[in-house]
Parts: sequence; C-alpha cells; structure tokens
Amino acid sequence: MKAIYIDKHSDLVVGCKKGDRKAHYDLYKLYSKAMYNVALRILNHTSEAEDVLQEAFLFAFAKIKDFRQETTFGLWLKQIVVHRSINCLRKRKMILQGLDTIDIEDITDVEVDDEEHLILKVEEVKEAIKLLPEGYRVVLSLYLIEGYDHEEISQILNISTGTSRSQFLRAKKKLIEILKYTSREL
Amino acid sequence: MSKEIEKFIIENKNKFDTDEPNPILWDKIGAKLEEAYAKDVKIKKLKPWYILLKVAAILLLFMGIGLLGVQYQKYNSQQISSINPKFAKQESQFASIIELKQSALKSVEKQNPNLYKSFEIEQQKLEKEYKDLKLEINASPNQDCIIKAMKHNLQLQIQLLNQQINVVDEVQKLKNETKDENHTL
Repeated sequence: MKAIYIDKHSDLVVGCKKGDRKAHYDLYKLYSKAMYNVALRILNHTSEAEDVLQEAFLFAFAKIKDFRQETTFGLWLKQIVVHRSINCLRKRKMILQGLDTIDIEDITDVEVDDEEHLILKVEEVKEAIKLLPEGYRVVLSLYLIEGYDHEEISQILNISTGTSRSQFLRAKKKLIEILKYTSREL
Repeated sequence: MSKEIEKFIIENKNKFDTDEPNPILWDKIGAKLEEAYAKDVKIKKLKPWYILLKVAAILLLFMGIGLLGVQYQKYNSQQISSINPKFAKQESQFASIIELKQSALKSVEKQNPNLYKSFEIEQQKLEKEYKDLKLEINASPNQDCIIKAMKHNLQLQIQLLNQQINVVDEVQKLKNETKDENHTL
C-alpha cells in the first residue's frame, strides 16, 4: 500500500515551480539544517557536507518541475542528499570498511557487560559516532538516525542486506566501546 | 547496553541535528539560481527572434530560387540577343503579333469550343518546338541555323493562326449564308 503523504510545504513547492525566489529561500531555511546534518553524518567533513548541501538544493530546485509531489519535498530532498553524500564518499576513495568480507555468523547481538550503565548524552554519542570507522559510521547513522531499514541501506550502499546487518552490529559494538573508553577518561 | 544505546539514539535522533551550515551557503545557492534564471529568461526572450530568423531564412531561400529563375530566363534571352541582336528584336515583334492573333481567336472558344481546342493543340505543338529550339541554342555549334529554325517556327505560328482565323471566318460566313437562305425561303 502506498502511503499518502501530506506535505505541509506543498505551497512552497508550487511557488518554486513558478520561479518564486522567496519560496526557494523559505524551503532552504526549512530544510537546510536537517539536510546539512544528514550530509555531515555521512561525510564527517564540514566543507564537503556544505558542497553536497549546495549541490543537492540546486539540483532539487532545477528538477522541482519534475517533482510530482508523490512524497514530501523533505523526503525527496533527503534522498538526494544521502545519494550525493555517498557518491562524495566514493569519490574520496575511502573504501567502506571491508564491507563484503564480514561473516554474519561471527557477530551476535549479545548484551555485554550488562552491569555497566552509561549515562548517555547526545553530544557524547555524536562525538563517539564521529570516531567510528567510515563504513560503521555510515551504516549506523543511516539505520538509527536517518531511519532507513537494512533493505534500503543495502540499495543505497550497493551491498547485501546481510552485510548491512552485520556492519550495523559491529558498529554498535564499537560505539559502546568508544563510549565506555571516553567515560572512563573523564 | 546494546539495546539501550539503540533506543537512546532513535529516541533522540532529532537532537543530533545540532550543526549549522555556513550562512553564506544560501548566498552561493541564491546567486546560482539567479544565474540559471537569467539564462532561462534570455532563452525565452530569444525565442521570438529564432522564429523570425527562421521565417526570414525561408523567405530568403524562396526569393533566391525566384531570382535564379529570373536570372536564367534573362540569361537565355541575353544569349539570343548576343548571338543575333536582329533576331532578338524580331522575336519580340513576332511574339506580340502572335499574342494579338491568339486573343482574336479566343472569341471562338465560346461559340465553338471543339474547334478552338483543336486549334490550341496545333498551336501548342509549334510552341513546344520553339521552346525546344531555345533550349538547344546554348549547346548548339551552329547557332545561326537554330535561329533560322526559330524564325521559321515563329512564321509558321503566325501562318497557322492566320489560317485558323480564316477557317473561323469561313465557318461564320457559312452560318450567315444558311441563315440568309432560311430567311429568304
């Protein structure tokens, strides 16, 4: 079943289609911050994230006449940002951490050191994610923060769903390690 | 811990969007949009000119073809006047005589269309012959001979028209006579 999206900002999209400069600016104001953070989480590089953001907005505005509003502008734009960010990563020649070589069976999602409970803070988790290896960071961000499922991630990254799953579990394990380490440091 | 952190991130995902893009980014995007818009307008403004140019080009083409045709005809007549200026003069005289006689004959068309048609066929035969000669003259090694033939053809045309006029006159006379006879009877 196809979901019906109600786009709060469809007026702005219509305005953009007519070439209204104010509508362009309003859409930018509404979405630029969220999209910038999406790009930044994938790329972990401010100027590259800004480049992707600029390109994505220009592309979206240029193609807005073809945008049939079957989904919201936000979702459509996010798709553009994610794809362009991934392409940017690939161009950087940062090979996603041995994505295809990981065996799913050697990783199980077990609760390690259950007694230990960390007091989690967004800023700390965010910093910890930044410390993850490239491939781990991308999969973990796409899954937990951008809300894609493994099926979608496998398509975006051109990997199998199994790889996506195992990569996510490894990322999570590593993240906990980092958080424990940094909390011990304090 | 593993589930805990998963839950924590999902529940707080909106709070992760803390970074702000550089404020000058919009200026860059706005400038690029302005640029694209200006280009768009330029193309739109140019469009009527493109159509006008197309029309002008087609017109010019037709005019060119027309001019070429005129030039060709001129060239042909010039050829004749340069080969034999005397004949060129005679040609136009003959032409006017022929035209006069043809228009005189035209009055028969209504009274006797069949007769007129047969006359016309005869005329056209000679006219075609004349045209062929005119085309031949440029390539011919003996142009005087062809001019003679052309002159002869024109004379024949006049003779033919004269005879045709005579025939018409005769027919008219006959008709009148029979009328008179009927009258007297």
